Amino acid sequence: MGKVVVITAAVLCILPLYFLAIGSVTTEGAFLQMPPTLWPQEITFDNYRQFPGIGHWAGNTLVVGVCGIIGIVGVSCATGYVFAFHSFPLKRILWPLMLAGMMVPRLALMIPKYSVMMKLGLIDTRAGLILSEMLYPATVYMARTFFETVPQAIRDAAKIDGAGEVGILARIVIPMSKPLIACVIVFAGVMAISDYVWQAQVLQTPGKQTLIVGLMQSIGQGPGGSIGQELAAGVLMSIPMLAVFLVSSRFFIKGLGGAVKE
Amino acid sequence: MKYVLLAPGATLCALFVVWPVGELVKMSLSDGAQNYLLMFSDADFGRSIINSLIYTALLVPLQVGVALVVALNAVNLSKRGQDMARFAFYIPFSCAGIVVAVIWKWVFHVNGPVNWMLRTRIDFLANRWTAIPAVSIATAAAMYGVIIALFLAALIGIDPALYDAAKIDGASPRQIRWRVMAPAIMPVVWMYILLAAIAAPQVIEYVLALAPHRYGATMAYDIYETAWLEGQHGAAAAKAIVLFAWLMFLMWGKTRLSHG
Repeated sequence: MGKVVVITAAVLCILPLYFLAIGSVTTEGAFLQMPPTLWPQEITFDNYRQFPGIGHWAGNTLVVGVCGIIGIVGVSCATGYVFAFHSFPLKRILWPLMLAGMMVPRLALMIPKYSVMMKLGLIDTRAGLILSEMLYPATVYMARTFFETVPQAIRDAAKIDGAGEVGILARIVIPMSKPLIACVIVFAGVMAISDYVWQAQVLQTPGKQTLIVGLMQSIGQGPGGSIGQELAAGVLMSIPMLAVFLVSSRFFIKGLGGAVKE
Repeated sequence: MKYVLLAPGATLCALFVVWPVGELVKMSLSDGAQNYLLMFSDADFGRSIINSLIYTALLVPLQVGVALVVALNAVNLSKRGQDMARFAFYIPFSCAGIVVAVIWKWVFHVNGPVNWMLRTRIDFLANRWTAIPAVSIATAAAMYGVIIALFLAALIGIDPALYDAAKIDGASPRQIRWRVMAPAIMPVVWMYILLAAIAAPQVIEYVLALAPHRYGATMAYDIYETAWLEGQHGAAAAKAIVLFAWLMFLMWGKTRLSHG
C-alpha cells in the first residue's frame, strides 16, 4: 500500500521531465505529436550542438557552485547552532533579521542589493556572487529547527569531555544531523547554481558567465529559438543539480547505520 | 566562542539584508507617503494580493500535504526503496525553474497532454481560474524532492522506542503513521508550512514563463512589473515593503503559536 502511493506520486512528478529529456533528442514535429510518444522513433543530438560556450560556463558553475554550497552549508550550520543552543543579547531581534532575506521579494531587493554590491566593489566578480548568496535564510531556519532536536544531554557530555563549541558542532551535532545536511546542500545547490536573474546581473563579462546565464542567453538569442533547443538547455541545466544530489546523498544519507541511541 | 560562530552570518545579514532593505525603505519613501497612498487605488496590486492568497491556499496543502503523505508511506520502505524515492522526487527539483518552464507550457497547451487526456481543448494558461492552479502545480512538483527528503530526514530521526511502544499496544500501521510519527515531526512540518506560505506570494519564475499576465500575477510578479517594466522603483519598493510586512507578520504569528 505504502509503495503504491509513493510510486504513483513519483511517476506523476517525473513524467513531465521524462518528456523533456525525450523531446530534447527528437525533432520538434515528433515532440509535438499527440498522443505523446513514449519513445522517439529517431534520435538526434542536433539540439545539443548549439551551445558553443558550454565548457567555459560549466567551469564557472563548478567554481561558483562548489564555493557557494560550502559557504551556505557552513554559515547555515554555524548560525543555526548558535541560535539553537545559546542565548545572547538581542537574540529575539536578530533571528527575524536573519530570516528577513526570504520575506522581501527577490526582484525588488535586487535593485538596492545591486547598489550595495557596487559600493563594496563586488560587481562582476565570482567572489562577490558567492558572498552575496552565502546567507540563505531557509537553510539557516532548517538547521536551527533540526539542531534543536539534538538532546541537550549529548552536548553536555561532550562538554564534560572537554570539547569546544566548534568541536561539538563539527563532531557531534553535524554527524547526528546528516540527512539534514544533505537537504541543506541540495537547497544550497539551487541557490548557488540556478539563480538565473541574480547571476545575470552580477556577472557581466562573458568569460565569467555561469551555465544558467549562458544557456538562458543563447536560448533567447538563438536563431528562432526552437523548442528543441530549450528542451536541451533544460536537460543540460539539470546535470550539475543531479551531481549535487548524488554527491550529497552518497556522503550524507548512506552510512546512517550508526544512528545514536540513548 | 559562540560569537565567532555567529559572526559570519551576522555580517552577511548586515551587508546583504539589513543594508539593502534599509535602502528599499528609503526608495519607497522617496515621495513622502505618496508611494504607499497610491497603492490603495492600484487595482493590479489589489488583484495580486487576492491571487497571492489563492496561491497560498493551493500551494501549502499541495506541497506540505502531499509530501507528508508520501514521506509517511516511504519511511516504511527498505533503505534502497527510500533512496530510490528520494532520487525520483529529486529529479523534478534538479531541473526546475525558468529553464524547464517550456515543458510545463507544453503540458498545459491546447494541444498538450492534459487536454489530450481530458479530451478537451482548454487554454489553461489563458485565464485566471485555470492559470493559477496550473502555475501552482508546476511550482509544487518542483519542490517535492526537497520537502519529502526533509520530512524523511525528520522521520528517520524519530526515536524507534516511540513507535515500538505503540506497536506493542496493538496500533495499526496507519495509526502509527498518523498518531505517532506525524505528531513527532510536527515542528519540521510547521517549519515547512511557514516556508511554503512565505514562498507563495513570491512565486514568480513560473508566472513569468507560463502566464506572464496580470490575471495570474502574484504580489512578487506585480512588484516585478512595477519596477522593471514600468520603471517605477519607488512604487515597487513600497509594494515590496507591504509584502515584507505581511510575511514578517506570518513569521511572528507562527513564533507566538509555538512559544505560547
